[in-house]
Amino acid sequence: MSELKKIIFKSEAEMPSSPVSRAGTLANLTGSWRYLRPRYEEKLSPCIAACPAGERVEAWLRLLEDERYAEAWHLIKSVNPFPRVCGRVCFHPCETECNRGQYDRPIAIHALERFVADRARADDKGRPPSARKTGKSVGIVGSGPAGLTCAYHLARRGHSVTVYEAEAELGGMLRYGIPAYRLPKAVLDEEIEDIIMLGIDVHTNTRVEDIESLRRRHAAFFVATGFGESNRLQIPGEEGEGVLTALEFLRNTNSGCSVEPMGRVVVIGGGNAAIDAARTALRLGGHPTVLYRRSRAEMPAYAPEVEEAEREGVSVHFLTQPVEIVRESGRVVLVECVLNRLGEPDATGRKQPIAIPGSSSLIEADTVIIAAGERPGEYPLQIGSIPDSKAEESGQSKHGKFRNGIFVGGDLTEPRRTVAHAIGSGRRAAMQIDKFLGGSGEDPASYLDGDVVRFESLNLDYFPHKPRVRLPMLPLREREKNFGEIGLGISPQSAAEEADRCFHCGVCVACDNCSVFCPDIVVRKSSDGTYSIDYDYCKGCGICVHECPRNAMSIDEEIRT
Amino acid sequence: MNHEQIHEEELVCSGHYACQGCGGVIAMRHALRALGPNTIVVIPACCWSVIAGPFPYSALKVPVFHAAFETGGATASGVRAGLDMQGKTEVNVLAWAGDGGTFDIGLQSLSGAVERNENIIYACYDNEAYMNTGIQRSSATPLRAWTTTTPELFSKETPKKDIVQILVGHKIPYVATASIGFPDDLQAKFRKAKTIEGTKFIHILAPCPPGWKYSSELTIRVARLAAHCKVFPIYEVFDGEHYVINLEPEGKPVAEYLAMQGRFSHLTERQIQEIQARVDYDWEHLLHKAMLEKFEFRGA
Repeated sequence: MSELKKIIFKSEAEMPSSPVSRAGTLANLTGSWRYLRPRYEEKLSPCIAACPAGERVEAWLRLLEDERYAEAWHLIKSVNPFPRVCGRVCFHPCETECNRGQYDRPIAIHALERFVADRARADDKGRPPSARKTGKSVGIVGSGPAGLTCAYHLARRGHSVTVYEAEAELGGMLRYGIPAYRLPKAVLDEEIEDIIMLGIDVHTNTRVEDIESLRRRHAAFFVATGFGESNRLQIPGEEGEGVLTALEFLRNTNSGCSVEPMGRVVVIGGGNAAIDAARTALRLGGHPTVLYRRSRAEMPAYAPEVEEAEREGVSVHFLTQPVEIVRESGRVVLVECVLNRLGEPDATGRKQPIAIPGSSSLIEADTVIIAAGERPGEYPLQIGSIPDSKAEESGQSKHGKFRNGIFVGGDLTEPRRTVAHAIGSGRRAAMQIDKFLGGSGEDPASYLDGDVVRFESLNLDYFPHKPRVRLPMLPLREREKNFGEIGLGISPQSAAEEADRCFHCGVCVACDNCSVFCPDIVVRKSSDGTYSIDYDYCKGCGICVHECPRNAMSIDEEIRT
Repeated sequence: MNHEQIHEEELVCSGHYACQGCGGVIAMRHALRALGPNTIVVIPACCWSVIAGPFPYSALKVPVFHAAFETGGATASGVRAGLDMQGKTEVNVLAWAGDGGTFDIGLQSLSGAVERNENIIYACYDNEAYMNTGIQRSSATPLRAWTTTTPELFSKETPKKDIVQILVGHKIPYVATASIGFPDDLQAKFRKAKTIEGTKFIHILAPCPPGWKYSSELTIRVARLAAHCKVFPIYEVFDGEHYVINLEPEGKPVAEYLAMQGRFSHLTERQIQEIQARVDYDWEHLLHKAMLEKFEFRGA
């Protein structure tokens, strides 16, 4: 560039008669003034970091904002085969971590996930073309969210997959544990159908007793049999007629077995299974009471679900501990309880209940449902697949490879037993199995490393306050005696407005602030929407970094050699 | 704002001589982008006399006339007259002066030009002191601010001169305030000024990192905060009568704005309250003039 050259007058005669400029200032490379160096550096949004299923939430929200529903759906489905399920039943840790929650209220991510998945599936089945067959076969034991997610990812990579399920239908806890008012069976069936359409071989009513007998059929196995056994209370009277576990009760209802008139139902426990059981009993015409031995604050059930249950008419008694179930002529009539007070926290950090002497009370009951937690049962132990310490040590992780190509996941390995955690576990296991079978093992959710954007690092000047979308719910009177879905969908317009509230933490959305406010005119934008900085002239004032609303830039000390 | 557009219409050249984070350059960028290349800039002595570069260089891609300190209004009038004689009435004449050249030294020539209703745009980029010569107080320096000539123990005892009121008093077609914190508004005002016949005066707040003693990356934040704390309201006045407020301040306490700047770090709680009272009074007065609220003052 001619402007770059320095102008030197050798004599007065060469100079113009009056002082007139001959060039711009490009010869003055002001980059040498710089002691701080800005750069573009995208960071991880907290919603992405928080998603147990590994969804790239921020990215699909951006597509949703532009009404690119099919693309958003494909992006979710590249990681999670169950967006319609998760949009309904996931307890959305993404929203808990959402930075907008510290500003006004978090983005209603679950409602948007449900919206985009419901809508996109209605518009376009859009199944990805099946990959070239690898000729490798994988057996999957258990068809809950972990097993089916694993099957989905392996099938998409061209492996032959066979799913073994002990029950009559696929879905595991999604089908037999979660009541239809939270997750309609049709929605579940359709998402499972999309997975099976990838060419997965299904064996229902098939309990795998001995994996070794299947050795010749499959090169690898994924065991995700979940927590199918219920804990008992160890109190007198809990065996026998009129008493059943929450899992049994929910399974009976969810598999369409006729259930006898309920009468007065006492549900014992404070977890999600207890609340699901109570609300199900209510819909079957029962009068449920939940007994929980600690207070509301210690309750492991998801608080909004508890509130909804109470609104529907479930009564919850806190600090109440059953000590005996009393029968008369073979029928349950009473539950004897004591009142507790809370003592010091135990190892789990929850305050320990301590019985108050002489506080005994009686509660009338026709049916008692025990929801005292679940455990894996004996089954996986028999097939020799519980993690051993060696596998942990050799860096194979909790989804580790165990003897002879047997991998374990889902509730059996996850620290938190939720649908989303199971889905994440299934995906990671699929990647390890793919690698074990000679594939790339490349994780579609491999963006999970990186600094997470903190609320304090955002520049909030550019985000006006906007109310969160109102989530429509079925009116209380329409919930009586039926299992119609409670949560209703949102309109495309509400979805777009809600997605528009997203900060897009850590991600450049080409807002141009860096360029608009640069005093040194050094920010260049290329035709693909990315920016670069001309360090020949950048003085390092840092305005671009500070005015980036979403912390997609960083600044470091300039190091000159 | 579209960046492709930014670079095509960019009339300020990299390599200029402004300090890191200079608000004056951001103001110039957006003003020229709005006015376009068919513009002649008249610069009396101010920071921009230096920023534009030494002979034989110029940081602006439009013609610049460097003029003596007190002659912004007069020189711009002369350039206008010369262009008009040649029939070049479509060329914009922009006088671009600092607060010293506007509030103090150039005030009479400005008043003269304005009184004649010369067809020019006079923009004052206000950094609230003589920054270029080493931070001496001007009549644009706010109450209680530190400068090298108003040290902490003798910080400025008089309030900032209300230059907008002086210009409004001349009954010219268009007077506006603008801020580099709101570039869309700033550009819109220059585009509007281009279409109005007669004298247009635009007062731009242009924060100065070395003079106001804050870290250079905060320039835009300080400018935005000035508007949101009502220290520097964003409004326009048509024909010396009709007031329009363009930005509703968030109404943050003025302490937040003062706390960001080292030049106010010596203030006592009581002094901050006095400043707040002054700001509240001025804001209510402005609302009254804009006839948005019934004027009622219950101040200190």
